[in-house]
Amino acid sequence: MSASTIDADAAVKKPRTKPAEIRREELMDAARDLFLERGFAATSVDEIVRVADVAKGTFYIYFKTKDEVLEALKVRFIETFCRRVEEAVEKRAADDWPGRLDAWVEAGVNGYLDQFRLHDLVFHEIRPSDRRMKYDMPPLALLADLLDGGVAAGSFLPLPDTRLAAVMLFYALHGAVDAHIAAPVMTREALLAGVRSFCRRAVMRA
Amino acid sequence: MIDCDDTNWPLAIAVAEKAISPADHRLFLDRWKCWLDRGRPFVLLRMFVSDEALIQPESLSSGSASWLAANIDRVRSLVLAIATTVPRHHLEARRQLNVDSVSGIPSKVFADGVSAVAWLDQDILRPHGLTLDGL
Repeated sequence: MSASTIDADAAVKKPRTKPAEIRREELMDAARDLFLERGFAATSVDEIVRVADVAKGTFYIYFKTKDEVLEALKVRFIETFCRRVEEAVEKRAADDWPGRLDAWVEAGVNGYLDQFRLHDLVFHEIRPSDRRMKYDMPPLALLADLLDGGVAAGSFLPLPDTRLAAVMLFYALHGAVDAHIAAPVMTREALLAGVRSFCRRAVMRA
Repeated sequence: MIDCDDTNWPLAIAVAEKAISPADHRLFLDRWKCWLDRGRPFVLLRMFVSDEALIQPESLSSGSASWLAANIDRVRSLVLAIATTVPRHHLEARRQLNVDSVSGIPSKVFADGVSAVAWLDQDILRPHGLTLDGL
């Protein structure tokens, strides 16, 4: 078999391919839609590859199991959430610490409310054996940095432990959105105003 | 069932999710014949995605051996390499077995498909003037 024969074969038969990162994202999108529609347990790899329009072998190149897809969806959810929060915060002036805190609250509340079904899927289907994940949440680091900056600038109260303050504010926001999802007794705007006010009062001088 | 896919030719993929039955095996050998009948070089990615998929009755092993003996010339001329993925806890044992080396075809065992495809693409296909644009 000569090299020219191989080259001719490659030219004649062009593989029906997509870049790996796009194919992986498409598999994740198909799995997400099926998990949300039918539930994680009721969804099979066969259904995921059918919706994604790929062969089963393609699925197994990227994921060993559907549990791995769920884990990848969780990572993507966190990355997307953090990116949106960061972008919202960075739109405010660098020295506008109250405004930056408001932006963190607004992006956090909206990001969670808009995606709460996906949030529940990726965080509640997997139950990690340890609770470390709750402390290592990337959004907490973003908020802790924001609080550090506000404290250093004198805009926020001198918090003895900004990480602890970040944990409490993050889960206060989380709880407020959880309550709103369960019993939406107020508008989203009222919820945002309430969480903004709470967070400001927690870290700012009267 | 062994799920076979050649939509990304010259990459052929065979996936075994469960224990392989004699009927599955016969279909797989038929698919092998189709690939060889193309008369063009290709690489194979075999994926055993569960413990039970690695279970192969003795009768199938002897059937494979006789099939390989009958087709060894075409296999050696057309199959550029074989990559195999197994569950991670089987990796070392399967690497030590190195069962495919007997046919003289380059072969490697991996724990994940991405690494296996990267090896087939970069170390095997590209030196032969072939590439995978994606999957």
